[in-house]
Amino acid sequence: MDEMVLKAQRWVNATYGSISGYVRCAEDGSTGWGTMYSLTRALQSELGITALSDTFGPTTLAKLQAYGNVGLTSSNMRMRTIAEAALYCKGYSGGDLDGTFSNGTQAGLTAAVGNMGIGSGVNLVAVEPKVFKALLTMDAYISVNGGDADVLAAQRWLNGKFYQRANFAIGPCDGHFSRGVQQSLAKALQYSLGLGDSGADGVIGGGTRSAIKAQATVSVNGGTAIFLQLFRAALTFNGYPNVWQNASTTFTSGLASVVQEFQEFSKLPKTGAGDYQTWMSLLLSTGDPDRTGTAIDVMYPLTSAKIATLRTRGVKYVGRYLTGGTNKVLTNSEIALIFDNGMSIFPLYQEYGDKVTYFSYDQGFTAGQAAYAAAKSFTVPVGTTLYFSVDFDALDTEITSAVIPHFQGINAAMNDDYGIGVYGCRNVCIQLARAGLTSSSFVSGMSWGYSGNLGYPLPKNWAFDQITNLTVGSGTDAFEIDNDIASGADLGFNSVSRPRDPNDAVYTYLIWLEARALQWVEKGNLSRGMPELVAQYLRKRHDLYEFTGSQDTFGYLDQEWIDYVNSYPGRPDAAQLRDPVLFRNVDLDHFGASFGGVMNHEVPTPGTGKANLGDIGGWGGDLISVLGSFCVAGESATFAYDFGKRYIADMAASGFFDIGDFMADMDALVVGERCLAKSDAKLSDLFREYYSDRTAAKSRWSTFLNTRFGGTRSERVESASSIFFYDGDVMLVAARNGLWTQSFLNSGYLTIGLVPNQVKSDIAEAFVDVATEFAAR
Amino acid sequence: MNNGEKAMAEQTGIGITRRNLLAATGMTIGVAVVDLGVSGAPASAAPAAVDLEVVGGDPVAVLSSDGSTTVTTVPRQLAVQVGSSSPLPAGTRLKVTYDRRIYALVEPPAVTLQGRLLPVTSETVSDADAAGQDVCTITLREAVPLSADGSTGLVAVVGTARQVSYPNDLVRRSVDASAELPATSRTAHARRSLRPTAAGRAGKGATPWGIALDGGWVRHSWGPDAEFSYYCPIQVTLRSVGPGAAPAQPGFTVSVDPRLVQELRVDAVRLNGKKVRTKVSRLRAFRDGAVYQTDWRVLDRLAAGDVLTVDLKPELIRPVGALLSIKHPVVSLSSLGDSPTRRDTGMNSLSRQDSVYA
Repeated sequence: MDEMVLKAQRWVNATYGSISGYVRCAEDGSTGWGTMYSLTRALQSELGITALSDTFGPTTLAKLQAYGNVGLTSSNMRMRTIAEAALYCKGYSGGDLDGTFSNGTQAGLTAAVGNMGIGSGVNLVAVEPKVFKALLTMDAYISVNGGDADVLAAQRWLNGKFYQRANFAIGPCDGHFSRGVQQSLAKALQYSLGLGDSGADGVIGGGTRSAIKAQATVSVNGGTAIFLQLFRAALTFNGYPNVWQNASTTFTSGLASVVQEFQEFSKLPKTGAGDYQTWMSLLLSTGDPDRTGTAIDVMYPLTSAKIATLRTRGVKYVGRYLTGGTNKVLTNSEIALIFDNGMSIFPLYQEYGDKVTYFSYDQGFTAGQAAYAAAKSFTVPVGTTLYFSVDFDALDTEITSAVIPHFQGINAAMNDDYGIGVYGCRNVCIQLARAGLTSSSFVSGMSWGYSGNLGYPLPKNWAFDQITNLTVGSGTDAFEIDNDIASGADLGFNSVSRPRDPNDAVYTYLIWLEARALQWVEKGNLSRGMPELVAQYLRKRHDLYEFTGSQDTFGYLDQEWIDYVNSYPGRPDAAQLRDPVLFRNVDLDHFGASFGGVMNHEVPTPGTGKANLGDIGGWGGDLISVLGSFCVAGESATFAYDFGKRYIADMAASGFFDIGDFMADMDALVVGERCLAKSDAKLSDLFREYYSDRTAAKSRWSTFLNTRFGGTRSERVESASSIFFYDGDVMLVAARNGLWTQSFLNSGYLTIGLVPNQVKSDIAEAFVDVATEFAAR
Repeated sequence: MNNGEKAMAEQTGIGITRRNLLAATGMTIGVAVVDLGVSGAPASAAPAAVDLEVVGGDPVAVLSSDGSTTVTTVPRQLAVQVGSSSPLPAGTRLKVTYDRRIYALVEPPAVTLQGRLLPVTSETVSDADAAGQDVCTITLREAVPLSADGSTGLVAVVGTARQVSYPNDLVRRSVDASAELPATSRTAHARRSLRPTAAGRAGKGATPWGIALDGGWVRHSWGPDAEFSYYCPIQVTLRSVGPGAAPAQPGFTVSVDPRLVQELRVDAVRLNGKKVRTKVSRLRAFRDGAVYQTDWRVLDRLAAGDVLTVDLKPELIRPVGALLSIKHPVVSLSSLGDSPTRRDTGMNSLSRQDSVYA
């Protein structure tokens, strides 16, 4: 506790406590933000400001400038006392804290302005307005926490050189590069570029960039002295030692070597000169935002069209997410696509991570486990670095209190198989590396205005630097990427040990649809489950299953859902689902329709002789088509069985009930039953279960038969025949007759009822025998 | 023997080194070096007495841990006023000995006369044999005349006591500061210890302890296109930095803008990462037009190394438009008592000034 700070706190509270808008500070003898804000409000009150505020803004400064210096000869003793109190709160002597501005106060003020770097030109017996403003900040003007001597010297030089310019505030002099220092440097550069008081706003915009290109280049061949001094300051702030040289105006060969070192580190052309790109990399976390990186990261799955675009950009490294939320998820087929195009992947992990309350040791441990499991599932090679996201502008205190414990949790969960990297702003990357918790950094340099980027150098362990967000490609193939510079420190991975599954692309497609379905449900569309929504999209995507009665048969279509999917960016390539035993493709559109039938009509129990619209929507409709086609063909009734055997599940894809259609119907029922039994089942998981394993694939046939048709041949035939004979379901009868009328009037039979029963039975028997033969293969 | 010592041996005419000389004279190292560096010869007339007055020397506490914890005090400013009834000639030297772990120098040292900076040269030398000791020698480049009141009135400002904070706050075997004006042709030798004259708190205490404050924020935005924003505290972390336990139950105060925050509640409390039940209670809430302030007390003491995390749940208010003024959010430690062995962690309060409100 500092007795004089305590005295200052008591004085300001006692003096201004009754003023409307004044906020009392704690009387604890410890300087803190609360005390500085109380003194600020006290000063505003003296200046006649009625809307007191914690901000020492333009109004306060203007009124104070109008008043003049506060000190030995100024008339307002309370303002003089506020100045003395501020000096004490900054650690300097404020004399007797009575406004007398005694030798003690003058000594304190002399020390303070000396530490600010402005001692030689400033009033030493009165506090100038800008000095007053500086005294009411929490900035330090002496080295703190191991501050760098050269940085400190450059900070003071900046203040001394520019503090009398209108928009230039006295910056901290603590030996550390920080947001305030970056702002000071940027303004100093702008003033030196001739932008004037109105143009010197500290933002490196288009005008400043043009001026840098035109004026600020410095090299061994020459350059303007002030730019060389500022360039030395910029290098010093970015952590390059021994370049300040007391603001030397000589560009030595030694300095050129340091510049080349910085350029090599930042992946800039090694010119050895302080040229535009070098300036930009020293000033902003984006560097020159027009650079084209060799890496990208993207939150939507890549398709073949997109990856072709990336190839033309020369992309070598692709950042993709190991797990996925609703958009980002990586799949095996996408991994293959990326590898096939000669690119490597650097894996990212982010489920949330966009606010401080997400981060904790336990959450980090959970994230580490999830990322580890995902990486293992993709068979990402051991030694690959996984990047965990800190996707918000984390301040120092947040890094200390939440982010570091979070990464301690990640480290504890990772089993040493994978390197741990971080995606985040520069400060986050630097602090985690310093804490020994990460080995590699993916820097979110694009967010140049983040507190964690302004005033921090590029981390030593940077691997990727995200500098811009771009839209590439054109027309419907246009998509967003983050343009990343790669340092070469992390080559990602370009192989996995898992063998390729020919159906990976289908799983990817389904996973993407499921993500959309989840979003759709979360929007409050609760009438259908995710599997049915996905199936509806498959049914509708080529518009093959819309006809009179289709809504009754396959379920009512949610056209808004279809529109939602069609409007959503990033849909993966459509792919064929191939049976791993028969090597024939399943008709997924057909599956989508049949699946709707299963989901909307209860599957009849085998042996009951019943059928319903669900059957019409699947195998039954196709069996009626076989019957109709037989009749249209005009063959003798005795050949009905043979006809059925030849064309049902025809491997030659003859057109009306070929193997692709059959498997679609079969899968609709097998998978549909699974979805009915388990509400959170996913089509992508179920298809992967049945199609990534030949034994499982074969099992579908017997499951299909047993579930719908029973265990014996007679049961199965009776159940199959029910599609022709069952009259107990009005909707079924109507659909059956409608289908016949629509497609088979030229068969010679005006109604399906007129077709001889034996023919129907023979077709049903053929169906059962074909399926049974496939089940036995 | 280094070159300086050789030269010194030559000056003294005997084969004595600097260190031997110091031992022989019983002087402190800094002062002895200073004395031998003086080149002025005594004048025939009696030299004028010189008075060295401490300026801005109110006491600042410094913790040391030389076996047991000791609280000592040092003057806030390393500054002296040189009073002399005789003008000071150009070349007059003032030597100030100090502990660089405690003081931050004004670079270059400032010597003022009635508010005017005098031209000086200066040199600072570290003594490798004495931990932390530096000697700053200031040489006047112009003569200082007597003022109307018959004195010089010159003030030399050399440095300021650092607000040392954890983990650099324990200064072992600190060096006492002193100022010295070697004799000149007109003035007598003068030396002055710069120990505070005012009584400071001093004595031995228990094991040092300290609490560091960290925290997190949530962005609150309002107005068209969310053009206005404010940051409200949603997490407060108290770290007990040790080595001793905090002697009392620590607390913290949260101050926010009352037009933007309706209420603050504790959502969860974790001790060393594990959720605990009600460890924090609200002592007081105060609201007026300028601030909404809540005081909170931790119901247990924190042992060294303990990390207590308090998640806050704010109930926020959306104003219609811009605000004329702002109460920046502040979280500060409180209820830490007046223990002399409390370490200043430098992390006593948090705030954000990046609100966009007008």
